[in-house]
Amino acid sequence: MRWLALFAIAALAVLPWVIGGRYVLHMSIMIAIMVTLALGMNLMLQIGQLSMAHSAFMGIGAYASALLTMKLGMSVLLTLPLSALLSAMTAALLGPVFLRIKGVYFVLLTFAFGQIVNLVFQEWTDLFGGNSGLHGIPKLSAFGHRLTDPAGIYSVALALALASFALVRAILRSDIGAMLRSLEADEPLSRSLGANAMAWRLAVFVLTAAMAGAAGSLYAHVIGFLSPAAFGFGLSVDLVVMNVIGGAASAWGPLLGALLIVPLPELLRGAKEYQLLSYGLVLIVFLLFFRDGLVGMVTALARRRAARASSPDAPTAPARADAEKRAA
Amino acid sequence: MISLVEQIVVNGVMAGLVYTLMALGFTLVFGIMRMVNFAHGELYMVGAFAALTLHGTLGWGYLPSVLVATGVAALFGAVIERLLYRPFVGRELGGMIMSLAVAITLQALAVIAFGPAEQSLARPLTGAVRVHEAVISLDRAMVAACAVVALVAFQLFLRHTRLGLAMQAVAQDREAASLMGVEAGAIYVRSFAIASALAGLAGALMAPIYTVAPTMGELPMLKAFVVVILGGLGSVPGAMIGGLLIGLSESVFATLFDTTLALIASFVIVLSVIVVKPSGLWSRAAR
Amino acid sequence: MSLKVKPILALLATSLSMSIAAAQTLKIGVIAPLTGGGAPWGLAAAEGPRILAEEINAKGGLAVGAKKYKVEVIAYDDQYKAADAVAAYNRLVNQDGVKHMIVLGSAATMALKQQIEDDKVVTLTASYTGKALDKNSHYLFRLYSPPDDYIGSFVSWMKDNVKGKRIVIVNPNDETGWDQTQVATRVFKANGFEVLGSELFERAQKDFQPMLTKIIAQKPDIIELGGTSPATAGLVIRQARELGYDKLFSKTGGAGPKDIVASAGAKAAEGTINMLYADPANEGYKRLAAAYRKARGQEPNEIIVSFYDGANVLLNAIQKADTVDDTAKVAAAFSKALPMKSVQGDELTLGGKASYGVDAQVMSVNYIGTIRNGEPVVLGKTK
Repeated sequence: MRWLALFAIAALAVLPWVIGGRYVLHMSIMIAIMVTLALGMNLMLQIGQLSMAHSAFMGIGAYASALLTMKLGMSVLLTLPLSALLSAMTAALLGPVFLRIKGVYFVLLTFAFGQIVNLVFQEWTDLFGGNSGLHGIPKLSAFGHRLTDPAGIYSVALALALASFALVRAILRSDIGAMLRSLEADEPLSRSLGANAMAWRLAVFVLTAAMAGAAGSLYAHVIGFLSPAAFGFGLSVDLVVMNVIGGAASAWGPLLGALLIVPLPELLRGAKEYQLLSYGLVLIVFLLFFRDGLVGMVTALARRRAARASSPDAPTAPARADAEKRAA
Repeated sequence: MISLVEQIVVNGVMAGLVYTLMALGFTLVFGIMRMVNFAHGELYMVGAFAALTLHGTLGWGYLPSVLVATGVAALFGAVIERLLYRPFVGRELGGMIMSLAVAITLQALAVIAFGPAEQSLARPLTGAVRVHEAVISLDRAMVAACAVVALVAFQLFLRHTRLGLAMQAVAQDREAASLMGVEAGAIYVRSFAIASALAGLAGALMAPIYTVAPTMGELPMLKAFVVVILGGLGSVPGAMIGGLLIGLSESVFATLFDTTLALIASFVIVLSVIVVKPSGLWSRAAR
Repeated sequence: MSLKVKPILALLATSLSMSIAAAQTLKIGVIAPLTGGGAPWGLAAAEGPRILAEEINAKGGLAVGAKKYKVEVIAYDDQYKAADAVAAYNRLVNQDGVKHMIVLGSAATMALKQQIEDDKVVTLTASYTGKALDKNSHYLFRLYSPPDDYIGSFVSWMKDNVKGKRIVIVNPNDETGWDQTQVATRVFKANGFEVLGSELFERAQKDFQPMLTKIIAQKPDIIELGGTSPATAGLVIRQARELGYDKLFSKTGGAGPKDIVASAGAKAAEGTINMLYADPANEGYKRLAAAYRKARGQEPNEIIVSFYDGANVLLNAIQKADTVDDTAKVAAAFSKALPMKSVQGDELTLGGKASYGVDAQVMSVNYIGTIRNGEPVVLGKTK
C-alpha cells in the first residue's frame, strides 16, 4: 500500500514535466509551495497547536528574500536560506512566549500576531511598499544564470516540497514523532517521563517557521510581485482546509489537500461565485462526516478490504480514536 | 468650532457601543459553549442584508425591518448551531474550524444572492446635532440609543429570566447545571440564537450607516474579537467595558495617526493580554 | 430532388461557406476583478470589449487582410490580486492562445509587465500608476489618460469656475492614491490653490469621522477626493456633511456619480465636481449602456466607454497591421490606428512620450461634471 502511494506521488511529481506548458508548470510550482506550507501546519497540528502565524512567517521570508535581492543585490541561492533563517529566528524569539499558551487561546494569539505582521507590511510603506507591494523582484538565478524556464523553477519548488515531505514524515514516524504525540495526548505524564515539552514544541515551531520562510522566498521570486494581501488570514484558512480535507493524521494529508485545493480555483473558473460556496460546503461535509480527511477515507477503505480478504467476519479495526484526537 | 478631544470621545463612544453589541454575542457563545465562532461577523452581515431587503427593496418601515432582521439572524444562528456546531461541543479546535467553514459558506451565499458590490440603504434619519463642542450625526445617535436599549435588556434578561439564569449556570458548570435539570442542548441553541440576534441587530442598525456587502462582517468580527479578548472570553461586563475602551482607543489612534496604526495597536493589546492574562482583564480566574 | 430538399441544401451550402469564412477566431483576453469590491469596474472591462465584438461579428467579423475574423472576448477574474492575475495570464496565453489582452488593475499590470514584454503580448492597461509605462514598454499601452495627464486641464477649469481656494486632498493608502496625491498637490498649487494638507485612508475603511474631524478643523473650501472609490466617496461626503462641512467636494479621479449619490444622498452630494468618463446624454454612451443593461440587467459603470474604446483601438491596430499573429507589427501599428474617434465622438490620439519616454498611451477626453438633483450633469471637457 505504501509503495503504491509513493509510486503515485512520484508519478504525479513527474507529470508536470511530461505535460509541459507554462500553465501546468506554474500551477505545479504553486502546489509545491503550498505543500510545504501545509506540511508545516500539519506538524503544528500534531503537537496540538493550530497556528495562524505561519502565513506571517511566509510573508517575512518572502519580503526578506525580495528585499535582500533587490536592495543588496544578493543571489537567491543565499537569500532563500537566509529568509528561512529569519523566519526561524522570529519563531525562536516568540516561541517561548507563545507556546506557553494552549488550545483556543493559542489560535487567537497567533491570529493576532499574523494580523499585526500583515498590517505592518501595509503600514511600513517605505520598506515594504505598502498595499501596492513590491514589484520587479528578480527571478531565481544561480551562479549568474537566470532561471526563467518554468520547468527549471518547478524542479526547485519540487525539491523543497519533497524535502519537507520527507522531513515531516520522518519526524512523525520516528521516536521524536512518538514523543510529540505523547506530549499532545497527555503532557503531564510524558513530562514526568522526562520529555522536555517546551524544547520539543519550540523545535517544531522553529522548524515549521523555517519551512514557511523558505516557501515564501520561493513564492516571491516565482511571482515577481509581493503584496500583503497574499500573507493574511485567507492563507491560514487555506492551509487549515488542506489539512482538514487531506487529513491531519499523517504527512500524506496535507499533500493530498494541497493537490486538491490549489488547482480548484482554476478548475472552477466558469462559475466563480459557486467556487467559494463549494469550498465552504465541502469543508462542512468533511468536518462533519470525514474527520480524517481523504487519507482517512483511503486507509479505512484499505483496512476494510484487508479485513474482508483475511476473514469474512473479522472486526474492522477501530483505530479512529487516534485520528479523532488529531481533528479535535 | 469642534473640539478635537470631545469629538474623539464622542466618535469613540458611539463606535464602542456597536463593538460591545458584537462582542456580547461572541463572548456569550464562548462562555456557554466554549466555542470561538468565526462566523459571527457573517451573522452581522445577515442582519444587514435582511434589513436591506425589507427596508430597501420591500419598502417596510425602518424599525420593523430592524426587528425582523434581528429575528432572521437569530433563526440562522439557531439552525447553524443545531446542525453544524452541536457535534463539536467539547472539541474547541474542530468547532473553530467549522465556524470558518460556515463563514465561507455564508459569504458565498450572500454573493450569489445579492452580488458582490456594495449597496446603500436609505437612512431613517439625516442630519446632525451639536452637543457642546462635538457633533453627533442623528443616525449614529439612533444606533447608539438602540444599542444601549439592547444592552440593558440583555442584562435584565440574564439576571431575571429563567433562561438567562440557566445560561449563566451552564456557563459556570455544565455538569452541575444538568444535575439541576438544566438541559445543555436547549440552552445552547437558545444562547446561540440570542448571540446571533445581537450580531444581526448590530448589522441591521449599521446597514444604513455605511454600505452593505457580503464582506462587511469581517471588520466588525475583528473588532469583536479584540474586545472579547481584552474583556475576557465569556465575561459580559468585560465585553461592555472592553467595547468602550477599544472604541475610544481606536478613535484616538485613528484621529491622531491613521486607522492602520489603530488596528495594529488593538492587536498588540490583544497579544499582550493573551500572553499575560489569557482570561482577560475582567473575567474571574480561569476554570 | 424534391422541392423541399433544394432550399435545405442551399441553406447548408451558404452556412457552410459562411462558417468556413468566419471559422477564424480572434481571441481578446481580459484580466479584471469580476468579483469582489472592484467588480463594477471589472465587469465594465469585460462587457465593453464584448459589446464591441458583438457589433463587429454581427457585421460579418473583423476584416484583417483578406480574411474575416470572429472576435471572441475571454475574461478571467483576478480579484485585484497579483497571484490570481498571473494565473489568469498563464491560462490566457498558454491554454487559450491569446496574444492581445486588456488588463484592469495596477497590481495585475505591475506583476505582468515584464512577462508581457517577454511574451510579446499586446496589452492595454487601465492602471493609473505612473510606473506602468516606461522606455521598455513596447507591448504595453494605456487605454486612456490617467489623472497625471488630464488633471492639468481639469484643475485649470476649476480655477476659472470654482470659488474658494483652500483645499485638502484625500486619497486611498496605496500606490494609486499616493501618485494622485502627489500630482494633485503639484497641479493645484500651480493653479493658485492653497493646499492645506493631504490625508490617506485604508481602502476597506468605512468610518471617516476621525479623519474628517482633523480635516474640517483646517477649514478648507474644497475637499478633493481623488481616486477614492465612488461608494466610499459618498460615505466621506455624507459623514463630512454631518460633521458640519457645508462647502465643496471635488473628485478628479475615477468616476461613478450614481454610486456617490447612492451612498451620500442626493442632498449631501449636490454640487460635487467630479470627473466623468462618459456624458450620460451622449448617444454613443447610451447605446453602450443599453447593451450592457440587456446583458447584465443593471446600469454599467460608465468606465465601460474607456474599455469599449480601448478594444476598438486594439482591433483597429490589428487591422492596420494586417495581421493577428505578428504582435510586433500590431504594437507598431498603434501610431497608424490613432487618431480615431471614441464612441462618444471625441478624438483619441497617441501620446505619452513626454511623461513616459514612449508614445504608448491613448490620450482620451474626459468630462467635468457636477451633481445636480442626484444626476450627473456635464459642464466641460478636459483637453
